[in-house]
Amino acid sequence: MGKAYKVPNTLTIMKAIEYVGYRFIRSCGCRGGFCGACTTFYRVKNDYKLQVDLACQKRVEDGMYIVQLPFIPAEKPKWDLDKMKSTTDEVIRVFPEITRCLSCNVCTQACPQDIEVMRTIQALRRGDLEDAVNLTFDCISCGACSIRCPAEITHYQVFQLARRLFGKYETIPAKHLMERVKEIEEGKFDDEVSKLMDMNLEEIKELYKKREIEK
Amino acid sequence: MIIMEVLYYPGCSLRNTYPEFEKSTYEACEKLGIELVEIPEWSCCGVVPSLATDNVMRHLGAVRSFINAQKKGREIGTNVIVVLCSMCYNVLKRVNLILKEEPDTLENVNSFIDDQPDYVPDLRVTHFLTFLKETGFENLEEKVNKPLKGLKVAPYYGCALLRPDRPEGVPIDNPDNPVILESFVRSIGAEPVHFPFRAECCGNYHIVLEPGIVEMRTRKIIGSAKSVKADLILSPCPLCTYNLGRGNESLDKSEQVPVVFFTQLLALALGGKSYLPTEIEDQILKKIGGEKSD
Amino acid sequence: MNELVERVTEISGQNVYSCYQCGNCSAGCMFTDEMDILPHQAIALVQNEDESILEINTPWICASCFVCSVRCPRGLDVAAIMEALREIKIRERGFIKVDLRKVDIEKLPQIAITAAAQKFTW
Repeated sequence: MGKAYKVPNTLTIMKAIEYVGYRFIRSCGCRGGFCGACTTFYRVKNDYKLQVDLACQKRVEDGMYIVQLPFIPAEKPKWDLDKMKSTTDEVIRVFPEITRCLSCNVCTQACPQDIEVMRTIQALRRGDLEDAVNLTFDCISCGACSIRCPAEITHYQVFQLARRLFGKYETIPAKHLMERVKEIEEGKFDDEVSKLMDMNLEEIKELYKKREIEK
Repeated sequence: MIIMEVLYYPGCSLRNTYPEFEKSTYEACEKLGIELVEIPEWSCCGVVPSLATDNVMRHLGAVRSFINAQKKGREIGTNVIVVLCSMCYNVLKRVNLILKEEPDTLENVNSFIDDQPDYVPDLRVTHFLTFLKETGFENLEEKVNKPLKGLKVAPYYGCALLRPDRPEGVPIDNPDNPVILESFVRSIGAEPVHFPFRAECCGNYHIVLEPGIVEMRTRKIIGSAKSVKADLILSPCPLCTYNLGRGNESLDKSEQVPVVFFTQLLALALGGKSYLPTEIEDQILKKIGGEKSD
Repeated sequence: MNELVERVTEISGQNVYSCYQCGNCSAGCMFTDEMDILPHQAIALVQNEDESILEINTPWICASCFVCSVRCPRGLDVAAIMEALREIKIRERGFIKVDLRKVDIEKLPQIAITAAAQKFTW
């Protein structure tokens, strides 16, 4: 953009960008603080701190310089949960760069979700998988931590693997879910699904309008 | 029994690779009336000390652990951190001494860590062996109810407990002629055997890129212990233990010497659970003519 | 321009000129069999501003066991000089000594991976 704009101070960064006339073709997603697409880096006047927030959540401030970065590339290694154990060692084998963590905590400072990112990486090094899982529940995979990391860790991928392992091996399986999966496998819903598949667009639209709505 | 509370830094190996090192220590401490209070949310120390004087980043893990330790220490009234892993000990000790000696480095680190209180370097990092020595090996002797009589133990120091000698205070004993492990071995009733390779390097991090170097080094160390008829090699270091294990793997069964953590023998001598592999524990018991504790 | 000496001094905090080539470090070193040149020879190259030392394996074979540092009669931390030589390379843009994801770490304990990561990556 490279220009200064005057905007009402009640707007979020995202609203402000639209207010001055831009249309988002990227860096905008759910608008509700969940998807992480609108991660925005900024500095405010007279402050050296580089700050990060979600454009759809953060209100504009006077003298704010902003930039929205596209998602930074990350190489996701392959893993096979079935062949793994639920240990932190497994996570470190897939992501050995974790061992380069310097405890600088810049990742935590960058997280728009207020996750204690460095603490989580260190929890993995302490062998505490459960702690790591609980600490990162709110991660939206925006990647801000990973852009800032001097050890080149892609934290959100690491956390995903930690949660997958924990979910697969440590959490109690949801009984109702297993029952439903069984029902699906037994073909209980096959008729309904094939009925849907045979409908045309208009019929589907009609069905959608008449759907049962939870109150 | 008088219970003594001290701060405790476990390190990654005790949590992930060698839980028997930690478990046997807890077992021994319970018998000795020592309560290990784990430093909350300790950070990885980095394993190897950074020698670059113009970059303090690699000290941050240690310093963050110190900050957390300091808070906990004030609650329980101690400034002593006990460390078990040689590598962790070396890094934490060095960093702490550097921060005590170099106010500029301390200020640099403290101003970088702006999300936690400043570290005031008044903690004392001590290795568990030093801690035992200070409370008196003779006191330890009194508490031993299953002396490991007749067991020939080769005390292996490795590097991290003895070197470097700067800053002053890092080595837990005289780097050229250490005796602390030998005294420890005597206090639990076993016989220390002297072997020339006791303070030689196992190859350290070369296990990752140059495992050949490690195998060559550790075969020599094991051979040296074998030549003085040692039943066991006593190790204070998880990385040495791993590397020596790799050395053993590359040797014929008849040339191998089992490697155990010093706390495992301590726990055994105190009549506790040693968390040794059954095979090794049986061999020890046979040697000392005792019976299994449970 | 005493650039190499200056950089080594800056990083290691050691005065390389105080080395008088007695060879104690090399005599004590357990890894000389694998080294292109001996530790005291490496220091001589630094003293002579000979940048070929940066392409020689000696600093990389050093395992930071500190025997040399303990034995140096001039009180030089020789291991720190070796570290400085590694650091000069590691800090170079684009220099990669090891890609951790490509090493066979299947069996290795965390302590070994961490140590290698600390010494061989920036």
